[in-house]
Amino acid sequence: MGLFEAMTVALFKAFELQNLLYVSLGTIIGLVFGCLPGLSSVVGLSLLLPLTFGMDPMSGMFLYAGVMGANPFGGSISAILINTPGTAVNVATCFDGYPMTQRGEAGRALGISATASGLGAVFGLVILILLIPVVRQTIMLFGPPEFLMFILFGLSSIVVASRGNMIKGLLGGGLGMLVACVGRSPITGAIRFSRDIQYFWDGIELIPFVIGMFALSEVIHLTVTGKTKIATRKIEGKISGVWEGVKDVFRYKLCFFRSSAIGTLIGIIPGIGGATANFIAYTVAMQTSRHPEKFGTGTPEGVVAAESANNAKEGGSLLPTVGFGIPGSVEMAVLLGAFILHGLVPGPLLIKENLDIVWAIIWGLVISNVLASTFGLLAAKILVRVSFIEVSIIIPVVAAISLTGAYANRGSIIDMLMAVIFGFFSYFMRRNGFPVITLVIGFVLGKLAEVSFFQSLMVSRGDYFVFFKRPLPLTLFLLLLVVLVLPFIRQKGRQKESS
Amino acid sequence: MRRKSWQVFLVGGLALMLMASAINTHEAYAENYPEKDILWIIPLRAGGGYDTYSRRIAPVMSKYLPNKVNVGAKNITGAGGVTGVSTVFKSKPDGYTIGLAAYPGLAVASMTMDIGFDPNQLTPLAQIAVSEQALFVSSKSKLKSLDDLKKTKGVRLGTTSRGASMFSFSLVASKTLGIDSELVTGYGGTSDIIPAIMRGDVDGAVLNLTQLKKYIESGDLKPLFTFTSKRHELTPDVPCVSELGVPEATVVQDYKMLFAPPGLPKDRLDILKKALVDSFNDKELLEWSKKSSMPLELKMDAEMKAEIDKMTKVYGQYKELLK
Amino acid sequence: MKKKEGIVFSALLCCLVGVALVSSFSYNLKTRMVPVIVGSGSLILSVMILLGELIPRFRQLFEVDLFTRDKIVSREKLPGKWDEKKGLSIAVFWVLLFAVLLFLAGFNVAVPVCVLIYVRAFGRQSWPASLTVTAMVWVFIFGLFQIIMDYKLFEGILFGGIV
Repeated sequence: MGLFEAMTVALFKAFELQNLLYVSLGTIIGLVFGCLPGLSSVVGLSLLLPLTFGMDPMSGMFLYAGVMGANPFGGSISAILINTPGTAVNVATCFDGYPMTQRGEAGRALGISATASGLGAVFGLVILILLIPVVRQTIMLFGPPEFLMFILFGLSSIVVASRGNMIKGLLGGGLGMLVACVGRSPITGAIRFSRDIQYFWDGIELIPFVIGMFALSEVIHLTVTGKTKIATRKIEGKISGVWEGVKDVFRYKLCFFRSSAIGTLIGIIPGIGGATANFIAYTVAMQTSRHPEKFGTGTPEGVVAAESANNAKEGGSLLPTVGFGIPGSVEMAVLLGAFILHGLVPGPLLIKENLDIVWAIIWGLVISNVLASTFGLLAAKILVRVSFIEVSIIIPVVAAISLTGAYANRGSIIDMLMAVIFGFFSYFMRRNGFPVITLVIGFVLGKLAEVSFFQSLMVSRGDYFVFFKRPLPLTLFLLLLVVLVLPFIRQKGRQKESS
Repeated sequence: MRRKSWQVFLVGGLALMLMASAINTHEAYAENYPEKDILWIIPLRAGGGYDTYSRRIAPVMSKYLPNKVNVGAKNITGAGGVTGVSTVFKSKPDGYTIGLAAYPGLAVASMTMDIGFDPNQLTPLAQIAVSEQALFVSSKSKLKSLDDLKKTKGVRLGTTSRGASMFSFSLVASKTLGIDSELVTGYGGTSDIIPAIMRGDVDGAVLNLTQLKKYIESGDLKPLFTFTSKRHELTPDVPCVSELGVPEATVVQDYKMLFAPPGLPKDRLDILKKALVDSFNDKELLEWSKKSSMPLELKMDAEMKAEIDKMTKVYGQYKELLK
Repeated sequence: MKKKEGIVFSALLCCLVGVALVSSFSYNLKTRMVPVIVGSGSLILSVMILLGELIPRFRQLFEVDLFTRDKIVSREKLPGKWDEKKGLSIAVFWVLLFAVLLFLAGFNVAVPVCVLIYVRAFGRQSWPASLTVTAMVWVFIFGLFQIIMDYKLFEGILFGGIV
């Protein structure tokens, strides 16, 4: 079957009533599971697997694609409205989405998220289709040295994101990296800081960490301040806000394309999670923006960057998954498991032997993203009301759902306790003027940096110059230097201007 | 005012009723086992081999249990698979909790660390599958046989970090076969290592043979030899370690074994075993196994015990190195 | 009051980083490399912060931003009567109570009890409103996990839950 023949076959299949229903059902599940912290599409897919055994594999794929496509947007809803990243890929959305809500611009933020998510996903899928013929070469581009440079790119943003008090910001990053060191060293396997406590052997789990950092610390913060509503003021006027959000995505076209491209690229690299794509896109947007100082205070640009990247990532991570049988993310690993349960063997031949299935997933993702975004735009006005409900009702609800999510993520009640500990820690950090963002960046990227650094050395048999011998890491390294120096030059320029 | 208090009663009463019904769910001790759903614990993450096997077999098992109860699979992960097994160990031996364990991973963990329980006390239920391993290299590699590997100094083998099964496999394989290897650790798993081999970042790796069937067919990877006692049907041209004169190396295989908590009454154990035997004769399941190249291999009682003992012995010899 | 808290918090951070750094030294080279490098850096930074808390003039040196010279410190204005100290003790008490109750008695007990306490006692909502919110949250969690997902929620160590 040729590429385009399979494409049309799958497209017709997608518009069969039964399959449309599956995609829609998947979209609903994806949205709900996305909204709820701790319940990601991984849990949703695992839940659906046994129900799909009897199904035609293609219908099953429409259902799965529905869940995966809608999930990141679902997660952004809770990130924007209640500062709780619904899934790991929405962490960066909190940084600007929630401050917008506090300003009374929740509708606008949701409008941005819906639009950027939908368009970002389509962007990622288009790149995926273009790259399918060269999938092997694309995957082989990235080894440990390239990996390390990408990670350093993300880590460099700790410096940029250190607001107000540089030292506190940097210390936050350091603390995050130290927290990531807990448990087995990924290289030597020795257990750090916690040899006697079995719980810590695998390190600190990301989901309870972010639930504590964002959701619970906000619960504590709101209780302490005694505010009655999340949004401090209501913006009245002819614009409902949602439409303004849609326009924002087109206003920040460059940011949108850059972030989508970064999201897709990071998605392609197997082994780097979606949270990383989100961060790197966000920080690059920050570094290249004309108003970097507004990031973290509720700039629409930040939401555009975060949300376009995490949906574009989906298309990117689908490339190694369907093209080569190597999961580009955790969700994709579950999808590969689903292939096997349906009697399909994933691997480099899937694209030849089951091209129609691959297209079914692509179309399923497109439809589900369109549905999710449409829902988002239509429902935004109602969702916005959350920010005007009395805080004394919101807080216990958010706390109960977050704690349940922290537990249900992998069935560990100690994870729930850890979330509480991180919640208090994060609250006191904020109270004393430490930015939470650098701590989270350090945590997410610290371990990956360690692994790729040592792997580069082992792979090259101890050659410290391995990073500068290949063209791609060298280019990335030079870019990194530019990005780090740029703000200083700009600041100099600005000072001259003002004087 | 009157209407309000009526509402209070309604809502409050409803909440209490639901609460009572929820708390009462675990009062099922009677002759008629099984009376409620059985929990099947998967010690590793969703999406991997353990997860796939569990989610495929558990519903089939429900079909063959008396009283039409459900077998629900749930991932309880942590400490490289130890947490899930530990949860099985601590559960009530009432036959409502069973769980998979990764051997020899579990044996190695209990030898090298304090995992808080003795795996030998678990009630063995059945071995459900064995994943045969092979040493893979890139099809463009200059290394073409075991002899080439032995002659090369510092063969870079890609693997996960210490503590996971794959690390133990790579180490025991190198020691038993006499390969001077340098283990490149830190990979997340098979899927990270495949591109690493193709790029030439590492020279080879010990990986699951059937799982990589398609990579052999596509000509990306090539197995040099399999860690089996006979040539594998998938790769009739590839020698096995027994014919290369190293039968000890056959312990380099991943055994997926099902356990119940210590002290499970025999009548309940027998019911579970019978359901498993029936499941493994289920036509649909067997067909699936073939189609998706996920081999099934049911072993129970003495046969299962013998496998466990063999692994414990061989891996015990390398205890110090595995620490 | 505020200043004292800052001193205590930064002193605690110093200790935390210090302990991590000291225990890192016992590992082999590859294991300790990252924690030692990051830990040393963090220790220096945390000592600087502690000094800054103690000596205000020293602190001003770090209050820089890469992009602007303006300070971006936006302290929210609190409603007039509200006592922050009281708020903090409520928050600490309630969140800890929630966690402990979840651990001991499981979700089926802790969720309704804690939600009700908050809405009724701290939120000062009417009884009907409090009970409705509580019932809704609890039915949602119970219905989603136990009924739709067939996912057994933790039942508390007092009722046979396994940690």
